[in-house]
Amino acid sequence: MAKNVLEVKDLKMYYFTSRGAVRAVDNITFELKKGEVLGLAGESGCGKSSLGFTLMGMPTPPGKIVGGSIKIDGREIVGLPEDVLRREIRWQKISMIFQGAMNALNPVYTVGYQMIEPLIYHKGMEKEEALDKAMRYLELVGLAPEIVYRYPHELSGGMKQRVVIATALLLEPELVIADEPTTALDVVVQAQIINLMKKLKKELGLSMIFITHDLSILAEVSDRVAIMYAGKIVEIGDSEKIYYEPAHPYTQKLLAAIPRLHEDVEKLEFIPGQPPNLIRPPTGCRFHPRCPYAMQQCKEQIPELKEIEKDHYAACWLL
Amino acid sequence: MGYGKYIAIRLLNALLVLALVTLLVSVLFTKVAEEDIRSTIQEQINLKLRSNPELQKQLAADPEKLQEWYEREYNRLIHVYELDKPFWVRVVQRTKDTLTLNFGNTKSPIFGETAVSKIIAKAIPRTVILFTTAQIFVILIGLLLGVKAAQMAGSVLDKGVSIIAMVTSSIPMWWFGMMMILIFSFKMGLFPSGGMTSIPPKEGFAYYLDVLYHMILPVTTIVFVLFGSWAWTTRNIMIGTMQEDFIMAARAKGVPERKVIYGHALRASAPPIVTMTIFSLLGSIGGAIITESVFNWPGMGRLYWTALQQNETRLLMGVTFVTVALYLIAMIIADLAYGYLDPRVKVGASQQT
Amino acid sequence: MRWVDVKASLKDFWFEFRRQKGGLFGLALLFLLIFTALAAPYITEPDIPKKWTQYWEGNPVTVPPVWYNYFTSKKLAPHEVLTSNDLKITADGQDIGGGMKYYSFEFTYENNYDVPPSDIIIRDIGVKLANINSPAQIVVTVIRPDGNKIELLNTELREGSIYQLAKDGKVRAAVFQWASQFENPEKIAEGGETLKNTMDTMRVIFAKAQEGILTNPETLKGAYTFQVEIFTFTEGDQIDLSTTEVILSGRTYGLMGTDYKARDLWAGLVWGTRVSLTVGVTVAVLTVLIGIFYGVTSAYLGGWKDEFMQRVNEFWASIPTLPILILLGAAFKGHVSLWTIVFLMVAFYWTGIAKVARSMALQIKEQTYVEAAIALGAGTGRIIFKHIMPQIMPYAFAAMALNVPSAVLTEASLSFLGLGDPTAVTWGQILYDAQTQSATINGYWWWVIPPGLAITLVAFTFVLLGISLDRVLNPRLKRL
Repeated sequence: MAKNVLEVKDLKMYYFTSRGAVRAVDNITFELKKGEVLGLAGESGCGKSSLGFTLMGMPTPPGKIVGGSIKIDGREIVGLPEDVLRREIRWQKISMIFQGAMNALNPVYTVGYQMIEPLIYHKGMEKEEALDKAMRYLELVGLAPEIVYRYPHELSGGMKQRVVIATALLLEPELVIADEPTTALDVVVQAQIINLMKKLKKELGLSMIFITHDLSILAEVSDRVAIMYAGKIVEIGDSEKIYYEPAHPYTQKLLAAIPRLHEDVEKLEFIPGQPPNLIRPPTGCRFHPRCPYAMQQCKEQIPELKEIEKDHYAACWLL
Repeated sequence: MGYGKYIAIRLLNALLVLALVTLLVSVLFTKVAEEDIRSTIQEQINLKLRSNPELQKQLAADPEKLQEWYEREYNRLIHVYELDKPFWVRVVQRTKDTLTLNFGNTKSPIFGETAVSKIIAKAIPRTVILFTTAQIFVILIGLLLGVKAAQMAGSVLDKGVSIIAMVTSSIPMWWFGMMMILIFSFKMGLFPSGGMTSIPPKEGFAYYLDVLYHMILPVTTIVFVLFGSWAWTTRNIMIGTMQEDFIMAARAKGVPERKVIYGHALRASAPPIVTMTIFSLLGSIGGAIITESVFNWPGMGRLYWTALQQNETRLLMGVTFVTVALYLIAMIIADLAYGYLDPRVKVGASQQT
Repeated sequence: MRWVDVKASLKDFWFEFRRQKGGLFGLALLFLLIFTALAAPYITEPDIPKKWTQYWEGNPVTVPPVWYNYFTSKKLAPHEVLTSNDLKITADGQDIGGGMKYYSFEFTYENNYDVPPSDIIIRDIGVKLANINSPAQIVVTVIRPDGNKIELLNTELREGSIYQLAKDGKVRAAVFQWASQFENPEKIAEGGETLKNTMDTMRVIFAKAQEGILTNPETLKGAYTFQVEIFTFTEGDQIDLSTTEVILSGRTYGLMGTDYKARDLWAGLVWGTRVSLTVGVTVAVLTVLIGIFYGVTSAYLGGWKDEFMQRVNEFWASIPTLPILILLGAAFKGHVSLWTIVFLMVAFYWTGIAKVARSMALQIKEQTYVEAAIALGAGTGRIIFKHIMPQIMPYAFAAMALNVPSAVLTEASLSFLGLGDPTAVTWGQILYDAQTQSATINGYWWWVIPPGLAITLVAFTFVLLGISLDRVLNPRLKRL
């Protein structure tokens, strides 16, 4: 019954800069089932946003997909020409909810104009009809439909985020990528947005990849969680399992670093060292310079994702 | 802030500037005119004396009487020309005159008129034709080139645009006009060396063609010197805009590339482009006016040149006033355009619902 | 800022700047210009500015440069000045009896050109007459390569006499009469008086003796010997030939030709560099300094003081510069000095800088480290100089360079309208003369093109420098 809406195998995407190739997405493999929410977590600069854009077939320049495969609903995207991607894949099969902090909305056009753009270009709808649909989706995300006539600068951060969410859903895509949707918002609004996403997941049966660096939110929304480090997935599995029994040292440290209100904490935990250089990443396991359990093998060989228990995989020589 | 309030403030500012300039013009005028009038008075007295041999004989005999008569005449004329009124009273009078566009007359006829206001009225449309036509070309060429250069940033075209912009903005426009005349009129004899029409002027449709023919060199001069910086400013602002997130978002939504560039990027760049280029446009009015005089185009430029050469103070005052007024009007229009293009001004500050 | 910091940042700056090809080119141009400006008295003559406003005696009027001959098929005669050393003196006070003395000298001119000199001027013969009512006599004859001899002049010689063969009416009559013998009598009858009056005397003197000599003279190349004989009649008359000067007014002159006052345009070009650089840089530096001071103060004061200062700024910025400058220039016509122009330009241009400086200062003011500094007890001066200024200075330098072109162009424009400093040597002024003398319509390209190119060069130099400085000091656009 559960079909794979997304299959990623050995995906590689590098940024080709004047200083060298930045290996932002380095050999990523995972699947996403229909109706499932996969949380994607990691530090800033670990490549999670890069992965998001790559899945849409539009890595940010100067990035290029170097190898691997992305199958959305069984269809291979890597290698498709740009105009096919634009006409058939983007927004129809896979859409994106942008970060609230981004200027995802053009300040010179009304919200409505920007919402109906995909409807007009993909479905050839008439303006009236498209506006109608847009207004319905605005209601769905809890906004007054009149917002279509407003300009972005007239909306608050939370409102803009909801608009972006509504726009992502307009074409009823197979898969939605939410790129740090709550990052720039204050906690109260954050909670509202999380609740909205839970509601949409339930009502629409969304398949979603939820990208964030905030682990505490992921638990709320995701069915499964993947932890990224230095362009690679180091642990992936059922979210409860990951939270209660993290296998990879990095995941353990991440979870330990979350300040907890109900416990007595003497000292704040943190991860020593700095995020790795993605142009010349460390040999072997990328995490070994900062790992308290690093062994000789860790320096020499790259660990593969191994099944630790059912639906729980980690890439570490300790296991 | 709201569109209305925005415009109101800009208008007020403009009026204030106009008032100050009028005052300045009037003060200068009154001062300079005073010397003019004094020498006119001398002339008139001398003329009166020379044309009346009886009077001459009478006064030649008695030097004291001559002195008396002279003083009497002098004071009489001073009174007639109102030079005996205090300085500031005269300034106020002149200010009123200037505001009602009453500039007086020139010493010799220009464009067949002596009333300064009529002369200027004849000159303005001719200047407007020239300048506006040139501007349209500048904007079209500049925008297109700038957008293309931004799209192909780093390419040969892009570098070329930068270099052209730098070189052409270093050239004095009026000198370039002289060069054009030298090459295309003197050397190659392709175009007329000046003026708006041939002598004698043609009739009917041929007249318009003739004017167009005479417009080619001056328009080319203006366009050549100005299009470079338009293109370069557009290119820079576009590159900045294209790095914005909403451009990437538009592409992700499947908007066709052409619409992304012109519909989203260019449209979003419009407010800063308008701002930056208005400055250079208004700055180039001065250069364009001087260029006009190089081509002997019978517009405001020629009036400036003539007024300066022939010491026509009244004409210069009038022309300056009108130029400043036109300049301020252009500024208001630019502000209007900017306010309209940027919804943050047009619709006002955020209203949180 | 410590000296060590300054040195370090200069080193960093130079490292980055070196990569800007345009900037290096601009720098090279700048050095060239500065060199020209400083070396002006040595490249040309030191007294140029003094004699600039006058007519330059001894030079031909409005002629192209010497190297023009390389580009034209009809070779033009160059300009030559012969002093007494160049003249062959054949008789120096020979006593021929009856109280008369005889002097004579001659010079030979090799005419290898298609267009002969435009004039031959004989002057500065030292004459002291015992009796002013009894002058000496001078006879000028030319012996042409074809053997023909023409007596050009036979007239009185007094103190200070100057003879210009091309302009002298007597010479004209003599030449016309001589030439008529070769010309078609019908043409002479047709032309009559007009033919005589419009004849180019020099061309005819140097023309082939054939039909058409008066209507369409063809140049006769070869050696022309000019003989000058002087007779004095009174005892006590003294003739001193050592000061004599013979000027063969060339059809070309110098490196850049001459204008209507026979001024050497090359000298004008070189000296003009001084004005452009001085005015341009002074205006730019003052404008930026004043603008920054105003903007930073306004931002720092904040509140209604800031508002007020901004209104004043906006108001002042709305005044169109050039029309007002023209008006002021005309009102004080003839009494305008360069410094007046500098002052006026600075008075109008500071507004743009002030606006940018203010927004930069505001941004910096909002930064937390300024708040922290204030919390630590830092005073106003310290905040401004230690925190705000160092961040604004890089922008200031770029702005200074970028402001020079408009200053140079404005000064040139004012001079072009005749409103500039009449005693200064500026390129705009040269072009003003060109325009009033209709140089363009007459095709005097050497008068019109070089000054404008010079203005463009100076402006371009600073545009290059400014843009490179801006790229290095204010990286805003992502390097693509």
